[in-house]
Amino acid sequence: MKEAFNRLSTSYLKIGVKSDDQSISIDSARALNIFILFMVIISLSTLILGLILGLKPIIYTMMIAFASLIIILYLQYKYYYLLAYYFITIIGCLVILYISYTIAYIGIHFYIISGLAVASVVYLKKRYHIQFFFILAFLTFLGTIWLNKNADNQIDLTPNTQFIWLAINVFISFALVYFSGYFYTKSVLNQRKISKSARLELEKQLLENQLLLKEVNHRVKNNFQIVSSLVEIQSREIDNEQAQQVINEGQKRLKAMALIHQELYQNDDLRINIEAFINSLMENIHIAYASQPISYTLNITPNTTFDIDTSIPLGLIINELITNSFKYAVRPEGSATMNISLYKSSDEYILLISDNGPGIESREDFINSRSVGLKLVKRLVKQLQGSISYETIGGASFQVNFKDSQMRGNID
Amino acid sequence: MDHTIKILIVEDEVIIADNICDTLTDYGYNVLEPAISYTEAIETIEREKPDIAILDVQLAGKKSGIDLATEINNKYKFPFIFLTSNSDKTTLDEAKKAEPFAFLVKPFVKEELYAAIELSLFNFASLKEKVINKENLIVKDALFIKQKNLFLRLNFADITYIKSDHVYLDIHTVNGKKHTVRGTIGEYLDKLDDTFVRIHRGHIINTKHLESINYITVQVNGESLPVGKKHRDELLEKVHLA
Repeated sequence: MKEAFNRLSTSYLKIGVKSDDQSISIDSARALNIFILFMVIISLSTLILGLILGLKPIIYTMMIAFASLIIILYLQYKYYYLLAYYFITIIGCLVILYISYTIAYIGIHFYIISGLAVASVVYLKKRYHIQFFFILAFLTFLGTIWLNKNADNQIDLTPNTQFIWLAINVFISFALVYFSGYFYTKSVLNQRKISKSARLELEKQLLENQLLLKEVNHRVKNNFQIVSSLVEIQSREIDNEQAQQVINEGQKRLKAMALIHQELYQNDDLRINIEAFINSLMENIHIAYASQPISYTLNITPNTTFDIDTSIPLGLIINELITNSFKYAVRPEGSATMNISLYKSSDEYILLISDNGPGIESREDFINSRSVGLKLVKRLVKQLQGSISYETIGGASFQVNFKDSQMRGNID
Repeated sequence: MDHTIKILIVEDEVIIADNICDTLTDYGYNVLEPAISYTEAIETIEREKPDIAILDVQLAGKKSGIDLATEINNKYKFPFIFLTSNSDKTTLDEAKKAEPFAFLVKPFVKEELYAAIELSLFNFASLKEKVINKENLIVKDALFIKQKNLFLRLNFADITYIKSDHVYLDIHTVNGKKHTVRGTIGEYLDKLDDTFVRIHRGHIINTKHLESINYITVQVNGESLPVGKKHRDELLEKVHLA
């Protein structure tokens, strides 16, 4: 029972609160909801009083007030804030005027004007709203006095007493409106200012951090370039062709790693777009193997990105397999082609790299291969907790199943 | 029998793991297939019973190298070396809690790796007062002797007898091999376990391999060895107890 009540009150207070809303603070919407509830209780009890006393004007007024409040709540619920504001203001004024015309001595306009005030404060986004409210309230004030004087169907009380009643009520209303509105607005604005400056500070720090990370990745990439250059300078002194070839291969691996870091600092989210990486890698390898042109097609799920922990091994695997194709899928007529696809299946990623070259003799040759490149691939696949399989289907065809950092993090 | 010590490498970067493997294999060590995660490492430990492990603090998956080290300390009890790329205080403090026997910070050169293995073995042995001398030590139920800069592991059960030869000792094993080490009979006798007994000024035998005793000689693994007068009673007492 108590729990149900709690749930009901929480969901009631949430009316008009958008989770992602920036234009209206949650507190303001809550304040208005509480006020409307208060008004509903007042108008309901006045309605009952009116029914008991048989005062028709009170009954009509309160029924209108009650219906209006429900409409306002509904508008709130639908997030029509501005409409709710104008509605509450105009209905409020009309009710005040009608009451003044009939039973001025009942200070109901006190509550209604207060309601107006809360609404105007809640929806106070632009200055003219509060000015509009004050003008309307002043006109209503004049209207009530005039209507009071000329009313002929008033319920007892002497005109003098009525006027005093009315003046006191209106005065209190305005004082309340002004002060509550002033302080509330002030506090809301202050709060917004504070949270805004805190947010700006955080944003600034985040930006600095991102810049720093980018800078670091930039330097890492440059350092790879330097290492690569150092190796190249040294390798000039090597006469042995085989040794030279070994060094060249090492250098290409360094370049592939440098590329990964280049992708890292070019992206804002510090992730590597694998498609962009493969394209740059292809360009690089093309330059290195200019005599063996190869055309390729990419079939990669758009916007597939990986973090650095996955990208380094994956990048190296792709580098080895592509280099492999460049080396062996040579065709004299120059019609060598390569297909690279990468997509996500249920709980892992699948990378397919195939060419139309002669392929590896047999599956056993692949398993027992002593080539450094293939050995490296097999080891790196292990690091990605994946598996690799080879088949000769119109050329060499490699399938690598692997897991990204998040999937890998789930094991013990 | 006798073999070079078994080393397990647990490291989530396979290229680094392979590189360490190659280096240690070049030194002549027996290196196991590297593991990349806690679970894989435990499986290898259960199956291969390594003599020493090199653990990266960061591993693939939920559990870290520190978790693994704690488990080794509690259950398997062999020396290990921590390997990390962060030498910051937090990581070091965390790692220290697991009481590693040596620490390696990446990047390292192979000499450091070699030294760390030596250091960890000696640290582990000295913790239990089982360091015999600069080159020889005992880890659990095996004698670790240095031969050509490499530790060989001789299980107690495989040692038949030890014979003194001037400043050297000859350690004989069941397969008839002989390993010459520096040291004295006294140094060794203190650290070996109860299965070993001194039978002569220059001989220690493993009672498990004792085949027969007569008045002045004993038969151990098919060889007859002399028994000293002073040591005969002790031998008989040991044999009776056994």
